[in-house]
Amino acid sequence: LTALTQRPGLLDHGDPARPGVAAAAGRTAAIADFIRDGLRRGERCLCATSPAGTRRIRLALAAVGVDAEAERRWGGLEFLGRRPPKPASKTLAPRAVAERLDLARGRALADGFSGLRSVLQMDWLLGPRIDPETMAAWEVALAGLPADGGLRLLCDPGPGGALRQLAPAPDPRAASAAADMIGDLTSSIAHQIKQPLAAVATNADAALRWLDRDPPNLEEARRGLERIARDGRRAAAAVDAIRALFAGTGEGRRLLDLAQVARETTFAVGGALRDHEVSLNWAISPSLAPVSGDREQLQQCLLNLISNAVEAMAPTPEQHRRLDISARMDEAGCVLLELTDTGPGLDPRVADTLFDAFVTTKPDGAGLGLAICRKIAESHGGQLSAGSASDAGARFSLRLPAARAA
Amino acid sequence: MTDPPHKVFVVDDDVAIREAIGSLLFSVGLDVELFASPHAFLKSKPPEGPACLILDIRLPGLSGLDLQKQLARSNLDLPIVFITAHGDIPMTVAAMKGGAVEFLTKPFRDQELLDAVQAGIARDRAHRRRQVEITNVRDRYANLTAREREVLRLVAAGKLNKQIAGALGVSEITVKVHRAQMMRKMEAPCLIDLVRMVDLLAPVGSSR
Repeated sequence: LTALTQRPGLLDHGDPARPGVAAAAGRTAAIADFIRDGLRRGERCLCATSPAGTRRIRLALAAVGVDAEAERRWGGLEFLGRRPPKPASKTLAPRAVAERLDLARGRALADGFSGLRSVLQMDWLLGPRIDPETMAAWEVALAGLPADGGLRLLCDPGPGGALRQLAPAPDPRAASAAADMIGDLTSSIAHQIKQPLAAVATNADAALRWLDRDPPNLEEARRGLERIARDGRRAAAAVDAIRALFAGTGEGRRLLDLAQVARETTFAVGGALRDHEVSLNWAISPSLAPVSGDREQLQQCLLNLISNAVEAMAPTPEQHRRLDISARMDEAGCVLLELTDTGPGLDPRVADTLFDAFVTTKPDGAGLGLAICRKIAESHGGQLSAGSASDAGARFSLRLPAARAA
Repeated sequence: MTDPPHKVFVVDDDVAIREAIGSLLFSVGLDVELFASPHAFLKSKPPEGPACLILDIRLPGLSGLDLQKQLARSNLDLPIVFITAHGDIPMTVAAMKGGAVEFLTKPFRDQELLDAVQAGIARDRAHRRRQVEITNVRDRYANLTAREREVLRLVAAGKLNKQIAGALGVSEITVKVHRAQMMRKMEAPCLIDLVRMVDLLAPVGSSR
């Protein structure tokens, strides 16, 4: 078993040297944390726990803010079973359980959840006395589940045992969601502009060939030039359409709490924050006025800023990686949201051009992220600016006018 | 040129690209047919002479790579020049593994496209010649008697008349008569030509 706990992807959160009531309470709290994290990430949570265990977990969940109302809102929590299954039954073979969990994960994904986590109370499932061999067989089977399928397991071996979290490889979907969004966007922009430009180039080549013929075919060359003119205008129209996309038309605007939008965004990228060991610090003023805005555009803007911050903090030692998010009213009566990271700060040489399109400091970046962010801010009548925080790190300030009371 | 005219098919859903490529190919004297979708292309008449297909990877309905597979299955395997606005490596590898002549990223140089098309047509011409030859050789082989086929197999395997006579249990004179008859029917002027024909017959020859 000690060998098993050292397997990559298998984290041991327990402390076998501290048995007893305190350990049991700590275990229950850890289970509640595990479930709450899952619910916040939009995952389905299944608990195979005894009735007593279920009661303890529900109490612990309430203590960390997951009450009946939150449970209903997130909708992914389920406690399985009232009677313990017969330990000898075939359906409880480790392989069968692993397969069923894998199936449940597939169903959860199909139902729109972002993954599945499951709490297995081993002493209830297998009977109070578990021999190490049985336990090892279970862990081997569970460790063999697909690592990238958004599945997380917490095994509670019962009194005296240590909680074992089966943490498969970090879920790449959450971490790359922001990158994907920008990637899709740039790829589609590139396609829309490249198509007519490619046609222009080929038409020009063809027209030259028609002119080079002896005698030159002026009629065909003329047609080529007409097509060039048409396609050139089409490329320009594509650029206009893309600008309009980010300018926003005012439709889809509603009164929003900017801090709430920021919270939702951090939930969406919670996986990335966690995987990079970035801790979040909130400082939200209680007297925040609402803003009038497009929720999705603002989320996209914040998503870009948060992803940038996480990337920027890659060289920072893990214990110092911190993202401070503050929101307050500024002197001018605008809502000011500031994101401050503990990365190396902004290079003064790029600070001026930071928001220009196609300017990037990343080897594979298209340089559109911050340009789009600023566009979104401006289309909301606001501003996005960047600076360096006094204690190193970069600070991005999003200022949006407060909405007039309706 | 005794060949029927060369033909180039262009399948791209973007009318601007389609017309531009059409004009370019037309300017160098190629016969061009343009299609907006794979389905329109599949409904068209198959070419009589050497041809080549210019295919966009990203197409409505059926992707370029899917069309490539479908053509290969339907024995209508035209040489394909792929064009794309943004090709990634896996896509390129899949296209080239499927036998594509070339994989061009838009915007491409006109000469690149014309070279690829010429290479495709040359490949198709060679392919067609070989197909005609295979059909002819098969027809001739079908006219041989059972005994002549046996002699052909042994002659092609490099056996001497004496050995063939022994293997078949007939006289050497009889072998010579069958052999002359077989060479005449196969229209093979010499042994080397016969061996080459047997290679073309490979699927037939190896099963007997």
